[in-house]
Amino acid sequence: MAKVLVVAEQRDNKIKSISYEVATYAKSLGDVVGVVVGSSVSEEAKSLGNYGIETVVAVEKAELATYSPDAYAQAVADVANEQGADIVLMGATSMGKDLAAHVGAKLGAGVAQDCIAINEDLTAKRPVYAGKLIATVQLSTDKKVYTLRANTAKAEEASVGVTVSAKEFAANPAVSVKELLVSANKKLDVAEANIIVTGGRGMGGPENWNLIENAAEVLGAATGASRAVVDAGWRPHAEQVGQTGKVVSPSLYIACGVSGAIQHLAGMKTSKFIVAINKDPEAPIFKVADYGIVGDVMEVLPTLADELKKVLA
Amino acid sequence: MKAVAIIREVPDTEAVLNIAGDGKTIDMSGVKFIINPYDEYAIEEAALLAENNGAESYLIAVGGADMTKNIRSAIAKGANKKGDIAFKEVRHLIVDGTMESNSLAEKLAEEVKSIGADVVFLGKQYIDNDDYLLGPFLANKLEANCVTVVTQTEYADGSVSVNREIEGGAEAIDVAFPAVVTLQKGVNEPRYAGMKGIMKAKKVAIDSKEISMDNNVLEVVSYELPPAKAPGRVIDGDNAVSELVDALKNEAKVL
Repeated sequence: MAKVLVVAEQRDNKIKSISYEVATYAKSLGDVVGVVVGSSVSEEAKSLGNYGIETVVAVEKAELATYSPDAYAQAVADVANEQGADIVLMGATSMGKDLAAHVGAKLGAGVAQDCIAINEDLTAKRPVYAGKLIATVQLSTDKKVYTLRANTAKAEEASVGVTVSAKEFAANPAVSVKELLVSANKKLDVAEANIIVTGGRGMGGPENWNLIENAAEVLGAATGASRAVVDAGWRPHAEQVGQTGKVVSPSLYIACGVSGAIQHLAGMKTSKFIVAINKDPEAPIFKVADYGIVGDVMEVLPTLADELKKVLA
Repeated sequence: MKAVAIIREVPDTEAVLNIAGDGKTIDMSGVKFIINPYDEYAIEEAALLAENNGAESYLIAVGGADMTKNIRSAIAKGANKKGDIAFKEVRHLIVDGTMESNSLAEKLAEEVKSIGADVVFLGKQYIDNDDYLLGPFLANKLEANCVTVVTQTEYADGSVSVNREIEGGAEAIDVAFPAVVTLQKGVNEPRYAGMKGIMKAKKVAIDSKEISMDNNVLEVVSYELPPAKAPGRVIDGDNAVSELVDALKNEAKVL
């Protein structure tokens, strides 16, 4: 049976929900062991036991509080070797994709990024060419690294007794973070949200974003932006959804005044349900939408917020 | 300081890509190729280092035999207003067919080592494969430091201070040379190629060699179209919004 190492991603010592999806998915591939790297993660590491992982290695050191590619990759590679892992699996977040590449390089392992499926024969499916095609790829190395797109698996609770062991690690990161420049805004990140309300150029201007925000608030959703409005300076880059922004796969994606350029679709079309609101009935976004309303976002959004309040109150 | 900018060609985003008869390659006939958009930042960064920091900058281009036109545009984009070319040398690594990140990293490492580069610039992602592998793989083979998605750079002797974009902010990081740095939008403002640069770029010698992908760790077994989605429905009428909310609640069950 293959041995799978699940790398759980943490931020501020809290494990991200995608890691629980990965833990659940990993069980179909072999015997699973977990690893968490951070400054104080051994308590949090136990939560992997709620998702069926019995053995977790916690690599804890003050210097590992923030992601350092070389240090984290070395820690993961060391654990992978110690545990005899054939497969290393993690979420396809921006950190995950970066870390996976470095882990692959250190292990001499092939890497398949942003997978939407990993087959029994360990080939994997991944979107390419801005999602125009799906490639089934094969990694020829003995060890294989995969990153899994969000919402590919549903996290399934399956409580087991879990043992967390601490691992000593001489972190001497060649590249060290001097300072964390965090934006004061503590809003829910699009990459982590279950519901997203995104605005495009059809919103008319940044002054109208309260309409997006109101609807998002009722839904407990994150707000997203198309590349066009980010380029125009209406919204911050952190909100950009798309091939070159964030690739998201939430349960519900509401696109308001978004035309649906290929690059935007590449970033959201695997969302479970897509709603499009646009004045133009020919807008490409309607081709991927499950539900659409042809109308003026300025009118539709306030009504939507009201109707949602009735149902969600 | 020696700086290398690596650029690679990719199919134009608007290109229609058809799966070839063998099911595992793309029929590239008639497909227009462009320089990967993020690589423009690499060209600009290397040009700026040559102009402002007295660095020796090199350009390495990777792509098919027909890439010459795009390479000359890239050279022109690195020229100053007088048309002075920023690059000491321009190399073209000719790849016939599909590129693979490990093989490519190996060949590029050879080139970079032969130059003795302190810093290597790449775009943060390639819009065809979105694999985020080349930078880290190359750094590993060069035994160099690697920092990705960089939005700001400040150079010192033997190192660079960068801002690295992360969710909700940035990290300020010092990276010692040798380093591989992948660049994100905002790190610099790629200039438009001027007429003088375009003219002078035509005369720049391009050192071409064919390379083969002979250490692939990833192979494409097949391509397929994404699963066809059942057509959605447009809800119209006066009560469209309440109907939508109802559908979301009772049909889609996402509320």
